[in-house]
Order: sequence, then C-alpha cells, then structure tokens
Amino acid sequence: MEQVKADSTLTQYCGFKIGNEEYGIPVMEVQEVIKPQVVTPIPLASEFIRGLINLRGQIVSCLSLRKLFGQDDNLEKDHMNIIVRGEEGLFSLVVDEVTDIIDIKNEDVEKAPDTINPNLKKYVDKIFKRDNGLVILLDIKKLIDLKDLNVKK
Amino acid sequence: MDNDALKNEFLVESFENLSSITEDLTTIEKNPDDKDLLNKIYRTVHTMKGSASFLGYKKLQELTHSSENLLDAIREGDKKINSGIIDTLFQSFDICNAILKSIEDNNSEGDSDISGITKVLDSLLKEDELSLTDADAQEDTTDEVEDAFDDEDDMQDMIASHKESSEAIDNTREEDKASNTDEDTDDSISAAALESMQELINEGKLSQDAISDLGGTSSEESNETSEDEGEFNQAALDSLRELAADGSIDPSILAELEAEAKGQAAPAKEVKEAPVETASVPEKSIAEKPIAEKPKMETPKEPVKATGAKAPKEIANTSPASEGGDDASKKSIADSVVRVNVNILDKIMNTVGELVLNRNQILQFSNNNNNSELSRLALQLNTITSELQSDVMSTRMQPIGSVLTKFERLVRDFARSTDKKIQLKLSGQDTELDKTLIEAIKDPLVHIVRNSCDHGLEVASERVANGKNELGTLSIKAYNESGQVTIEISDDGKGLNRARILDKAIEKGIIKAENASGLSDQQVFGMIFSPGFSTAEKITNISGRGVGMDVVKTNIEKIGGSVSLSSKEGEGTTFKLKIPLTLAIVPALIVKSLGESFAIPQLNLVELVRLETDEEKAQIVQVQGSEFLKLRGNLTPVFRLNDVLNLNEVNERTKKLAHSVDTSFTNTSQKNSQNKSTLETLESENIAILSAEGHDFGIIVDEILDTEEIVVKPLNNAFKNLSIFGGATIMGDGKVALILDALGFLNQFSSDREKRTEDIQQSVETVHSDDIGEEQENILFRLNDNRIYAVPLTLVTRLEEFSKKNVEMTGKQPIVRYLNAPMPLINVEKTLQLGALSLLEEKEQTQLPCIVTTIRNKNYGIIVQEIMDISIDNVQIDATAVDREGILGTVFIGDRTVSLLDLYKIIDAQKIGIKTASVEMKEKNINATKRILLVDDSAMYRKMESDALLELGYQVTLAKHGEDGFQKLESDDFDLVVTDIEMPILDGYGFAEKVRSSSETKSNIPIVALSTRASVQDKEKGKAAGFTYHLEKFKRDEVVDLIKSIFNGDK
Repeated sequence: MEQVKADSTLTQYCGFKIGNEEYGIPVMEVQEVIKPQVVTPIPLASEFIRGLINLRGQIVSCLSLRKLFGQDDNLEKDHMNIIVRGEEGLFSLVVDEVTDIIDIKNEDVEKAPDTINPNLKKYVDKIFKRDNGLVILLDIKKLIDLKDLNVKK
Repeated sequence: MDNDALKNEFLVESFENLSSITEDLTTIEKNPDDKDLLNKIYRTVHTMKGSASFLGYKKLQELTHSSENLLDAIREGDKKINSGIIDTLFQSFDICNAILKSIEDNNSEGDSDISGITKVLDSLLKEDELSLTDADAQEDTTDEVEDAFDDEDDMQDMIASHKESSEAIDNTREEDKASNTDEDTDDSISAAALESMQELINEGKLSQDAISDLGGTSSEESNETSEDEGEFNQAALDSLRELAADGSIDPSILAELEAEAKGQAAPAKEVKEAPVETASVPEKSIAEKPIAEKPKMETPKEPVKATGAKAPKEIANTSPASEGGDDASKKSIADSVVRVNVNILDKIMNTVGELVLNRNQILQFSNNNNNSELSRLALQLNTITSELQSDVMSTRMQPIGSVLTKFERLVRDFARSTDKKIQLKLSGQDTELDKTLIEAIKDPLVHIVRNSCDHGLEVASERVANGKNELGTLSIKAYNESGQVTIEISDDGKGLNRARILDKAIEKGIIKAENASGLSDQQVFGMIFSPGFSTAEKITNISGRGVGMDVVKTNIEKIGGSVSLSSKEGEGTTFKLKIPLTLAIVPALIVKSLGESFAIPQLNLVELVRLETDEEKAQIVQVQGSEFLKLRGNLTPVFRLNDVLNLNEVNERTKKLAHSVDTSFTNTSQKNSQNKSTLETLESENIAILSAEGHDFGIIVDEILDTEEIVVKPLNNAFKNLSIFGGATIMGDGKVALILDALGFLNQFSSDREKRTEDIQQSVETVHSDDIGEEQENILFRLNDNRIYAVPLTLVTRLEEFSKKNVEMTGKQPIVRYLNAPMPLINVEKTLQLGALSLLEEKEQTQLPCIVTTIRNKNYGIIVQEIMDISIDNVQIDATAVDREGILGTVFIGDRTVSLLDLYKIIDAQKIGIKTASVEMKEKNINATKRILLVDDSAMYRKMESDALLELGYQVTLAKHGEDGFQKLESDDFDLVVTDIEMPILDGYGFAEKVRSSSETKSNIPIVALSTRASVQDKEKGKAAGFTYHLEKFKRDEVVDLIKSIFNGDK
C-alpha cells in the first residue's frame, strides 16, 4: 500500500460499528450522538431513509447505513444516531453502535483496496489498519450526497 | 394617493435616502473618481424619482429627474464633478427635503417652486464651460462650505426657499412658462413674495446700491461676504449667478436675492425690529429661522410662533424653516420607525415558530395532567404565545399597495408604447400580506398585468369600433377573503377566444381534437396555463413568449396560492389569485392513518365526509379499479392513504423500530390509537375532500383529529421528488408529522384517474343530448307517499298480495314464505328515505300488495301501496333530477311524472342475500383483464349496464352509438362487445355488420346484443347482422351470466 502523505497530524474519528465492521467519520463532522428516537417514516421514500426525527425542534432525516451499505436493517436491535450537518440540513446516520473516538495520524491512513464491497465503495474515503482490524473511514459528503438519496418511484 | 401606510413608507425611505445622499455627496466631492459611490447616489436618486412618480408627487419627480440627469451625465463621464455641481445638487435635495416634510405634514407637496432649481440643474447639464469656470471661482470657498455644511443644513433650506420665492416672482413675470405646479398658488405666493421683497427694499433693509453691486456678480465680493458673515451660503449664490449668466433669470432678481441673502445673514437685529409687520410673509419666517435655531442670540421663539400662527397655513408650511420652529416637538415619521433586516425578522419568526410548537407540547402535557396550576400557566402561555405570534407576523405584513402602485408606471408606459389607452384602477392597496409573499407575487402579477394590457385590451380604434369606451380599464383589486388574500386583475378587453385557444391547444398537442367539443369554457381557459402556450399571433416584447402563464401558475402555487380565470368574449377577462396570508405558520387538519399523523393545510381542505352505514359506504364506487365517491352527483376520486402510501409496510418497520426506542419516549397512546383506528376503519370511512388546481379529490384516512396551527418546516432536499409531502412539522407530542401537499398528491396519484373521471363524468353529462327514446314496458305503482313509481316490466316476476300475518322477521328483515323459500320483503319507502311509512308499518293494514322480482336468482317482494297499470311508452328518461341512489330517473307517462326505480340498487342497499361486494376478489382480478366495449345511446342504461359489469371487475369502455363503438373498437383491444340495437347514427345491426366486414382480426369478436326487441324475427335479423348473442334488455342477471360464461369458455 502506498502512503498518501507523510503527515503526522492527528485526526480524530468517531468510530462506530455496523455488523462486525468498524467505521469512522471525522469527529469534526459530528454534531452529536443520540440514542434511538421516535421515527416518523417517510412513505414512498427509499428504504434506507428511515424517516424523520425531532431533535430539539429541528427535523432530522435519518439514514440507515445498514441499508445504504446493502445489508438488512436489524430493526430489533439497539441502534444509535450520529447527527451530522450537511449542506441540506441535519442528517442522522443510524448505526449499530458507537465505539470510541479514534486518533489517527494522517500518514497512517491508506487508500481503500479495490476489492472492497461494491455497495460500500463509493462512500469510502480511506482505511486505517490497526492491530485488531480495519477501520473504514467514510466520506460524509458522499454519504449524504443528494443524488444518491434520490427516492424510489 | 391617499394611502397612509404607503405614504409613510415612502417618506421613511426618502428621508433616509436624502440623508445618505447628503453623506455620499460630500464624500464624492473629495473622491470624484469613486464610480461606485456615484452610481450609488444615482441609484438612490433614481429610486426616489421612481417612488415619487408612483405616488404622483410631481414636483418631487421633476426635481429628482433633473438631478438624476445631471448625475447621469457625471456618471457617463460627460461632466466633471465640481463644487458648483455638488452645491446645486445639495440645494435640490434640500428642496426635496422640504417637499417631503410638507407631504408628511399636510399630505401635499406644498407650494415650493422648483422650476428655478431644475433650471439650474438643467443648465449645469448643458453649460459645460460655465460650470467649470465657476468651479474655479469657487474653489476657495469649497472647503469652507463643506466644513460648515453640517451646521448649515438649515441655512441651505432657507436659501433654497428664498430662491423658490424669487423664482416664483420670476414665474409671475413669465406667464407663458410651462409648469406642472398649480399656477394659482404660484401666483399667490409670488405675489406675496414680491410684496415682501418690495417691502424689505422699501424699509431700507437692503440698499438699492448693494443690490446693484451684487447684481454685478463679483465673485470676490461674494467670497468676501461669505467669509464675513461666516454663515452665508456661497453656493446658492454661485448657482444663481450661473443662472443669471445663462440668461434664464432676470439679473435684477438675482440682485435682489443676493442682497436679501446678505441682509438676512446679517445680524438679526434688523429683523428683530419689525417681526410683527412682516409676519404674514413667508420671507419673514425664513428670515427668522436663524433666530429660532440659535438660542444663543437670545431671540425669543415667540415671534416665530406668532409668524406661524398668522401666516396662512399653507404658506407657513411651504417653508421647512417655519415648520422647524412651529412644531419642534413633533417627531418626524422617520424617528418613529426602525428599519429591520428581514433576516432578523425571519429569525424571530422561526423562534416564535419554535415557541408555538413548544406551547402545543406544553398544552398537550397539561391536558393529560390534572394539575390546575399547570393548566392555568399553560393557558397563560397559550395566550401570550398567540399574541406574540400574531405580532411577529404583523411585522412581516406589508401592504400590497407597494407592489400594485408599480403597475401605474408599467401600464402607463405600455399604453404610450402602443395605440392603446389604458387607465389603471387600484383598490385595496392596504391589504396586507407577508413580505416574502409580496416578493413572490410580484413577478406573476407583472406578467398577468402585461398579458391583460397586451392580449386583453384592444387598441383604441378597435374599442371604438366595438362600441366601447376607447379608454380601456384595467382594475386590480385586492381584498381579504376567508383567511386568504384575493387579488383580482380584470380588464374590459376582448376576452379569451375559446376557438383560438382550442386551436392552439390542439396544435401544441395539449389536447386531442376529438376531445375539444366536450370541454367546458373553464377547462379551455385553463389551458393558457399550460407550459409553452401562447395565443398571441405576434410575439411582442411585452408578452407572448409563451413562457408566462405556466410560470405564473407554478409560482403562485409554490406559495400555496391558486390562480383562476374567467372570461367573456368581448367583455373582458378576470384573473383571480388567492394567496395565503403567511406561510410560516398555517392552520392544518391533523389526520391519522395506521398510527401515523399527517397534517393537511386547511387551505386545501374542502370538506370532511364520514360514511357510517353500509348504505353510505356504497357511495364509494369502484370504476375501472379505482375508487370514487359519489358526492352530490359528482364522482370524486378517493384514495386510501394506507394504500397509496404503503403504510402497512411502513408501519411494520416502525413498530419494530419502536422496540429500541427509549420507553419514556414511546407513548403508549400511539399503540392505543392504532388499535382504535383499526376499529374505526371497520365502523366508518373518514374522507377528507381536498382541492388542488380546481380538482377535488378525497383521502380516506383512519381518523380525523383536530385542527392545529402547525409550523411548516421544509423537508430535506433529498426528498424533493416526494412532492406529496409539502414539509414536516412537529406535533404536540414531539413527534414529527408529514404535511400532505394536495397538489403534489394529486400529481403523484391521480393523473390518469383524473382523466377517467372526466370521461365518465362527461358521458353522464351528455345524457340528454343523444338519448333517443325507446319503447319500453313499465309497471306503474304507488308507494305510500302517494307518488307514482315504475319498474321495467322485464324485471317483474309476478304480482302478489301477502297477508300481513304471514310476515315474519329475521332480525329486522321482514320475510314471507314464497315458493317454499323465505323471500325478503323490501320496504322501499325506508330504503329510499322517502319520508313515509310503508304499508308494513301501518297497523290497520292487513294485506300487502307486492311486486315479486327475481334478481340474481333470488326473489324479493317489493311492498307497494297500489299496483296501477302497465304502460307501453316511448319514454325518455331524465336523470337530472335524481337526488338519491335507487332512482334511475324520471319519465313522463301520459301527463304524469314517474320515478323509475333502480331495483338492483334498492336490493343491494338491503344488505341481504348475495351482495355485489362479495364477489370474490380473486374472480375480480381475473375479470379485470377482460375488456368490454359497451355501446348504448342511453346514458342511463349505459350506466346501469356498466355498473353491473364493473361490479364483476371487468374493464368497461363506453360508446354512445355504433359509429363511436366502431371507432373505439378499431383503436383499442377488447374481448367482448355489448351493444344496444336502437341507436342514432349507426344502430346495432349496422354496427355488427361493420365489425364483421372489417378486415381485421377483431371481426371475430363476440357481440352481445341487448334490446327490448328480442322476438324471433328480431333475433334472426340480428344473427344475420352478426350478433353472437341476442338478449332482452334489463335482464341483468341473464346478461351477467352470459358474459361470465363467455369468458369462462362455457359458450
């Protein structure tokens, strides 16, 4: 794997899990993490749009990352909402669990391998290898890109 | 213009503009090359000119116009900025200020004369060299003037006023001088001014010598004077000198004026000597101005006041100086108004929106809590919040006049550029609308107004030729109506031309030629809102580009409004815009379906319908697989929210999700209401009838809750494709609810269904025109309301009379034994709610005459009062007067009006026996693939027969006669043809022959003929023509059985 940059500044990532995989998004992008809320589903919207929640008077659109990554929603299980701010307003990324804040040196991140799950590929920014496995670093902008959120007919 | 709000707004704006101009002018003088600043000044002046002309302030307009021209020349580089120019500009703006004050005080521009200053301005524009020379001459004083300027505003006023007076004198001398101002007042002032001048001279306050000296226009002397007096405004004199040199004013006037200026700037003691004598003269009050303004001089204010009091009011008011002294305590309008950035207002509005939501939540919480203190506080909060809400809303409200008055100009310019004479009548300018909405309606309005001027109103000659007043009238009316603002734009022009619109629409492919005749005027006129539609033969620069009306419509609808129009050829066109007052907080109806709340803005809501009994529920009918509600004779498409939104599937997910949600947040009421709503579904149908674009449609929901003020929050752009949702809101329980957008809903679900409704509706409407009578046998009888009814004889099995003691009850259903089987007796009076008791319920009655009918292989006894007769008549059935299900229409038999009963409907309404609704869904689905062409000239039978077929789930297409049927058969695929025989244009025989002789494969299609003529001869004739089957009309069961067996391949 080639090294992208010899940059030893630390970037903090918010780590979370979907299934057994661990993912990360830059902490700076995260507004807050909240527990499950009452969700108002949006009928006729894509299935990865879980619905809307009320966050202190603001309406937040929830995306199920499981669905987005082509996995089945594990509805019975607990989940967490990571609130991120996009250009179009607030989004909640619904994940299985939030793990920890991970400090990663910029020089330690690597380009994602081509063999990565195609459902996931377009959202992946970089990966970070550590002793106990991989952390897949996601690109928030691509995650909440409107073109991809287009609703089904 | 008597509109106060508008005037005030104009004043506030203009005072502000003036002060910013003053500031900018001083800056520009220091940096003459600052193009941006120059442009800014120019724009500001331009704005003032515009506003003044809209409001009809002619002097102000003229004055600003001249200033603008000068500024324009500077802007274009034709002129160089110099002190002379700046000074003149200052003066002109000072006069503006005076005029504005006069407007503020007594609503008129006052008597100030502006011809002088405009001349100066104009001459500056022309006389290049002169102004340059002057600029040189004045260079020494420039700085001084500048320094002194702040303190000297009033001085400038004063001098300007002087100039006015002197110009007035000039005016009287040049009587032929063109002037917009009222000459009478001019004369009176100038006379007074002249008098005062003369007086001053006579009194020796100004020496003749001085006058002539000054008249010699020695700039050195002027400079000296200015320096000596320290307070003297040099600039004014300079400009005057230019004038004098220019020859546009009499040098002697200048002389007088300069002398006077000097005199007045001189120590005030002279004035003090004789304040009372000169009190009635405007010059006097001006002369005293410095006294009033400078308490240092210890001149008491009294004389000034006396002046004001004595002077005729209008004269006193022309001078800002006297006003200052007169009414020092009175606050200017500009002082009582604060300008606030709209963004701040928006923010406040949002916050209030949050507060409203919060209040809703607290109210709901307090309702569930039996704490009296809490509910008292909650109510208080409620009141305060509501008040705050309405106050904040009102800050955003603006009179619509600010938009409407702009049309004065637009219309005027338009009229001048064409051969049209147009007057604009405005009313209701003070109607208020939310600022954002005012902005939003501006462009659509401009477009409509242009359209009316361009396409609507005729040229003068044409108007005269048509016997109209050559002056066309365009009126714009704004008014409040049912919580909305309505704006009507009407012209008395030529109106819309139906034929031309239709031609265009057909040409553009908006409609098909064959559909054109059936459209109502309303539908035709509505087409001008279609994209790319323009009937203007000539594309003008004003309208006719074909991009207009649809944009108008979209823009108006975007803000929740609607556009409609009515027109009468030759008389004019009226556009009607309905605009909601505000967008941010709207009242909405909350409905529930499968536990999810949805908000429907009241604006779209027409009515609520609740169907409780099965009879009522029968008002929902299935037509071609879609549901329609029969509402007052119209078929309104209805949608089950649960189905169209797939709520079942959605709900499954939500329920599971609710598992993981914090229990304190999961309100059990949600589940309760869910159960309840399921129950309600079984009990009754709740339908909210909505309207969008003039189309009504219904949404069937589980529950209809209350009306609430909701705060509209936009949905994330990601969902913009989901046009059925207009946004979201937060409910009292903190849950998010989606807002249903009626228009989006309609567009998403009903485009094709809508069309079908129209087709069906149309065929029902055209009943009478193409209905030809047919010989038919009816049995006539009386019911207990003593009116005469009829049923077709073919439906009557027997006439019987039963003894009442043989009648038994099963539940509430009376039955008798008949032919060894129980036969239900039908109480028609009750079924049709005729308001009379049936014989069955009359105690003394022992015998019940009955008509026994066999429907779907079951016998029913129709209890009647008396069986009368059998009529064989060529009857015409009129369905217009039918007010309820169960009556097909009225017929005239002899001289009597007889109601023809629809026995199928009556029996269906009994909820007994085999019900139509119980036709197996599975069977229905199979049947749905079968397409039947039904040809009958009588709309009523078409309906009867198609109802029977639709009940079974077949797809039915209707045709009105053989020719129509043949065309439909050609253009579409069918599995079976059912046809009448007696029809206009092409009868059943001819139709069958035509089908059989056509070369296509369709020639083999089975044809079922239905006719009252079913004798052996008839049948033979029919067979020869090509009928596959030939049945007697009205034997519905036989027909249905036959069709079933045809499709099952049994036959």
